Amino acid sequence: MTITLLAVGLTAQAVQWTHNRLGDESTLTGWTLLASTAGLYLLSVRKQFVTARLGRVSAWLQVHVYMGTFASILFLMHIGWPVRGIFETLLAVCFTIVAFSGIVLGVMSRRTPKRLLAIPVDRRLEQIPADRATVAREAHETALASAQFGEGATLAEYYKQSLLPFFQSPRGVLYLMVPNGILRRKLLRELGDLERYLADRGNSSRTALAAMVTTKDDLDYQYALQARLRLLFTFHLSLTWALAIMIGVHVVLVYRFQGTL
Amino acid sequence: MTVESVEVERPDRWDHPLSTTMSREDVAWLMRQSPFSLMNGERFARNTPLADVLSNDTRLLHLSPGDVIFREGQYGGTAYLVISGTVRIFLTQLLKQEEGSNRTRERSGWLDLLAKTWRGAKRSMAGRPNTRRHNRAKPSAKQQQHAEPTIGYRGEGADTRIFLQDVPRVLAEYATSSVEVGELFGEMAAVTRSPREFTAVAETECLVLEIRWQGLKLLKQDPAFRDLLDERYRSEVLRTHLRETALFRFIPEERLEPIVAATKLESFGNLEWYAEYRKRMNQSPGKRIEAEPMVAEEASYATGLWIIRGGFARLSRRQGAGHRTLSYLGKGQIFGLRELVHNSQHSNSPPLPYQESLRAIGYVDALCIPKQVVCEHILPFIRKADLPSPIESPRYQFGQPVIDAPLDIAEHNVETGLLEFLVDQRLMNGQQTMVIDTERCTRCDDCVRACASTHGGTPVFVREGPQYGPWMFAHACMHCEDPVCMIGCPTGAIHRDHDSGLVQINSQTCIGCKTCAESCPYSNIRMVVANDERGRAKVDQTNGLPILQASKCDLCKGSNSKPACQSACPHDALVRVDLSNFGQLTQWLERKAS
Repeated sequence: MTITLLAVGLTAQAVQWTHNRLGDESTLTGWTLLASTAGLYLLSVRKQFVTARLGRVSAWLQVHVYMGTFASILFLMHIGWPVRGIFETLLAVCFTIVAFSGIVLGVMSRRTPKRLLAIPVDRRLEQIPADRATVAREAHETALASAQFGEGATLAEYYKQSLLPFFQSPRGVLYLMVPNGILRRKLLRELGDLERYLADRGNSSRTALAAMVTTKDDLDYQYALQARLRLLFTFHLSLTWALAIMIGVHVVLVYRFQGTL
Repeated sequence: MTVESVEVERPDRWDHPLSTTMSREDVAWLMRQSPFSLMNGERFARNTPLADVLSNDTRLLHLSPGDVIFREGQYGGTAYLVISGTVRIFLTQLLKQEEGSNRTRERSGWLDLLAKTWRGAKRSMAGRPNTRRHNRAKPSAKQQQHAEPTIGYRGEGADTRIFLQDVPRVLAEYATSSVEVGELFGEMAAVTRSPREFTAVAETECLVLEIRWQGLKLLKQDPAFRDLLDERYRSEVLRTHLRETALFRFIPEERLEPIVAATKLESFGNLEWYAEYRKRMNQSPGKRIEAEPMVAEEASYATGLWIIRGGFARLSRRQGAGHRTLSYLGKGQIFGLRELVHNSQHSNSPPLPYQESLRAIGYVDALCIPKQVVCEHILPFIRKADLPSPIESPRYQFGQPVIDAPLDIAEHNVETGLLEFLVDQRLMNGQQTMVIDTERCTRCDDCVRACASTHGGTPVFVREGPQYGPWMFAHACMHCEDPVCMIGCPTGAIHRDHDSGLVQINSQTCIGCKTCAESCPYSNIRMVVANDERGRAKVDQTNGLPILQASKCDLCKGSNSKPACQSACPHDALVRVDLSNFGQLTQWLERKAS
């Protein structure tokens, strides 16, 4: 980080020096920004060469983070305020979103493992749909069987009304964005309330269903945590390529406008 | 979508014999030689007759004086039987690791030099056995003067053989023992899947029969051959092992003889321990520990010093109604020295019994040196610095009440729970165990993708496995200290690399019998559909069923860098740890904690 701050300081000095000599400081910051942004793409390049002796990806990621910080500060130095023109505004917005999604990715990469660790059983993302289907099938069988105990259809009815949608359908987009335990707590509370209407065998089915609610919710929670991190990463990566094209167009436009091209 | 396939003949165990040069005449001639002439052919199964074993699992080596048969530290799955001539076994280290490596002669230009510099230090486990070899103290004046032997090369390409120059001089300068006609050597490394403990060199013109480990197993069906094997194993193992035990390095040569004579070689448990282990998986930890064969029990009279020769042993003590694991001991480690030292230093007070128990984890080969021999021939020659710390407050004393140990002592800075977990799961066997720190791992699967791209699109490990706290021990080949997967392989397809010691599968000789996958206690070997060089799935031409092949982590051999999974991890969450080395585990945990 010290090196990043030093680089920012040196660039600021160079900009001031250029400004004092009536030079074009936006050309200096522009090309420096272009070079540092190009440097950010090296992480993706490194990931393509898995067996090459090019150092650990984790080290490259560290460099990526520092270079990204430098590029973001430089970006603020480069753009004039207010940003003029539709294309320039789009470019600035795109850069901001890429930088912001990168920061969020960094924070989430640190927080997500700890949240995942709190779940008793670790599941791979691609395994979760199959596990969810198994739990849903077991819940369905338990609920149907409970109706045959001669204790009425209380549990089966409740299953049909509240638990069936929970077990059979995936969680919404909002849950994917912000996974939480609201629904889990609600369902467990409601299942608890049914205790007084059930005899022993019905209550044992109720307890089993409560355990399945917990399992299903744990699976959903894991899925949401892992999927949103991957989605954000995909979003960050896709936008960087859009950004690369826009930067290219921006450079051409600038030199066309100056009459150099 | 249809998968393109190609019909082939199902591979057979002897599709790839050890040597293609073994002729019928050679086999017939061998059958007339001892010990094969004494064998009862009827003892061999109908599909593996003696003649076929000799034809496919053996080869004749014509050696000239000075030819190096194998060198210390190498791994090898073959034993050697001297048919004619004399072979010398070097009891002290003869060749440095680099000099004797089995390499083919290459032209090395500046590009090779640059490549070597770039590659840097070779990743290898070959250094491990070497670190266990200790030169004996006070060499004779003759030995002190001896120069490094000069080596040369004979032959071309894969047939290149290293030979020693000026054999009489080298033989005069080094401590050696002879192997004569009819004697077997090198079988210990093959049987125990451990590195060669000495260098073997042809002294005269020799004819030696090299026998593949799989063939050796078949030949053992004959009692005469089995006796030959056992006798050799027992007589050689003691001398070699005692010579290279660090603690004994100041013992004079003449004192070593009575130690060798009195030492007992004992084995506990079953070499094929994985079946028993699987059966007991669902039992309570207490029951599992009690089922482990006892080597020495706490509170019993300290009768001798135990040296672990192979396998692993659990060091434990009673805690409440159960047993608490304190450590695990591997090859070369010692048990009972503290008690024996204490008893010899306090000869006026009643002797202390063993303070801890030692149990075989699966299988243990151990040497036991009786107490009297230790006191007379060993303790006087152990430096004070090498002696263990004194027993200040013994837990067990004859006629005294047992002092219960407090639970919160973290021995060796390793959490007791983790230690128990490693031993219960038998993970201490792994030399390259993939450990994932789930507190750092974001489950991005970059490691899996990197593995897949290095292995033709199919990853050779699964990012899941037993977990203790944040540590996940993923299902990736651990390149075990004792690779039990190799035991049943009928063709030797799964083998240790001669130099690196890594467990590898030869796809050419793998017949897809699943024996290795079923015997791996960690489920780290999977059966996959075999493909030809064009990527087409191989199917059996007789029944159309796919032909399977064993697949497992090969540590990205040939990539000259760290395994792809490890270098691809963006969060440094994945490491390879040598769990067989308790000291290294402690260091790694300390590093993590700091």
